[in-house]
Amino acid sequence: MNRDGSHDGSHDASVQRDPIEGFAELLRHVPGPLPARQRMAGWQRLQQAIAARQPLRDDAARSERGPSWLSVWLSSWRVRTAVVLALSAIAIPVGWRIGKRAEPRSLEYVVSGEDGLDVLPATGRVLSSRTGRAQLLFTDGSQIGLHRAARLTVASLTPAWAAISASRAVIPDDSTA
Amino acid sequence: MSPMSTATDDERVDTTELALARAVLAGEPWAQREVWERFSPMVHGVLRRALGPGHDFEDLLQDVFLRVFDRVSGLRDPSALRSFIYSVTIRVVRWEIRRAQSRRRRQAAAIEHRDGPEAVTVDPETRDLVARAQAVLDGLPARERAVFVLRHIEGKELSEIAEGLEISLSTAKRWLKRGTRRIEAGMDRDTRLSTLLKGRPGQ
Repeated sequence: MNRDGSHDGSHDASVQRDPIEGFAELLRHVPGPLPARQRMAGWQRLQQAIAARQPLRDDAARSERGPSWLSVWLSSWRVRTAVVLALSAIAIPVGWRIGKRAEPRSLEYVVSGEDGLDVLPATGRVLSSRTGRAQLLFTDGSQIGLHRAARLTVASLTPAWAAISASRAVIPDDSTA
Repeated sequence: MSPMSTATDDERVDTTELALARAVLAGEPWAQREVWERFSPMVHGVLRRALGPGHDFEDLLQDVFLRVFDRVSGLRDPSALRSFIYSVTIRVVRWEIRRAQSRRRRQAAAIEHRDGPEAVTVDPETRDLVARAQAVLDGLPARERAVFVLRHIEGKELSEIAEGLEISLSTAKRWLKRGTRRIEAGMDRDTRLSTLLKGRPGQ
C-alpha cells in the first residue's frame, strides 16, 4: 500500500522510490490478517473483561489524562540539560554555604574602647592601650581589659579557645578566653 | 485494501464508520462488537509493527479496546473514531515500551523472539525480503522503532506521534532521524535489500 492508499501489488515497484518508503512498503506485509478464530476469542475475552470491569494489566488504573506539560517539556534533552545546570548553579553555592555554616568557626575578636571598634588582624599582633580602657571582645562573650601600657598578643584562635600571651594584663575571673 | 490505515484513510471517513461511531456513542448493543471486528486487525498490526517481537499482543489488544470503550463516550466528533482508536493504540505502545524497558532492567535478559515474520502470504521472494526488512527493523531501539513505524508505515503526523508517546516534537524528530539512519545502515548491510530498495548492492 502506498502513502496515498493505493496498492502497487509488487515490491518491484519500489525500486525507483525513496528507499525508506520502499522499506516501509515491505513491512506493511507484516503481520498478516488477524485470524477469525483469534478475533472471536479476543472478543469473548473482551466482553468478559468489560462485564467484570476489571483491568487486565497493571497500569489500567493509570490516569487517562493527556501528557502533562512537565513530562513533554522534560522529554527534550536540551531542556533536561538546562534544568540540571540551573539546579546545579543554585545547589552548589547553597550547599557550600550550608557546609561552611556547619563547620565550627574559630573565635574572633575586636578591640573596643579607645577609638570605637577596631577590627584587627586576628593573630600575632601586639596590642596595647593608651587610655587603659580598651577591651578585647571575643565572639564567645569573653572579654579582656587592657591596662595602660599593657602588651598583649593573641597568638592563635580555635573554635574552643584563644591562646594569648600577655606581658601586662588583667584577666577577669569569668573570662574563658 | 489492507486493514491498515494511513493518514489518507483518516481523511476519507467512510459513512459506515461514521454510522458505527454514532451507534457506539448511542450505546447500541451490537456496536462494540462491530468496532472490535472492524478495528482489531488494524490495532493488532500497529502494535506488532511498532513494538516488534517479545510482547503479548493479545493482552495489548484487549488493553486498547478496553480503554477505547471506557473513553469513547467522551468522543465529540464521531468521524474521528479511527483517529481516536489510533491515539489510544499509540498510548498503549508507549506504556508497553516503558514496561518492556523496566522488565529488561529487572530480568537483564534478552527478550525472546517468539514472533516470527507473519507476512501476508506472498511469493517466497517477497517473504524473504519482508523477513530481511523485519530483521533490520528489529535492530532498532524500542522508542526509535515506534516513531519510525508510526511515521513511515502508519503515516501518522509527527505531532500526533509526539502527543501519543508523550514526548516533545523535537524529541520525536530526533528519534525518527536516528531510527531512519539505523534503517538505512541496516539496508546497506543487506545486499538484497540494498539492491532492491536503493538500486545498488550494499556495502
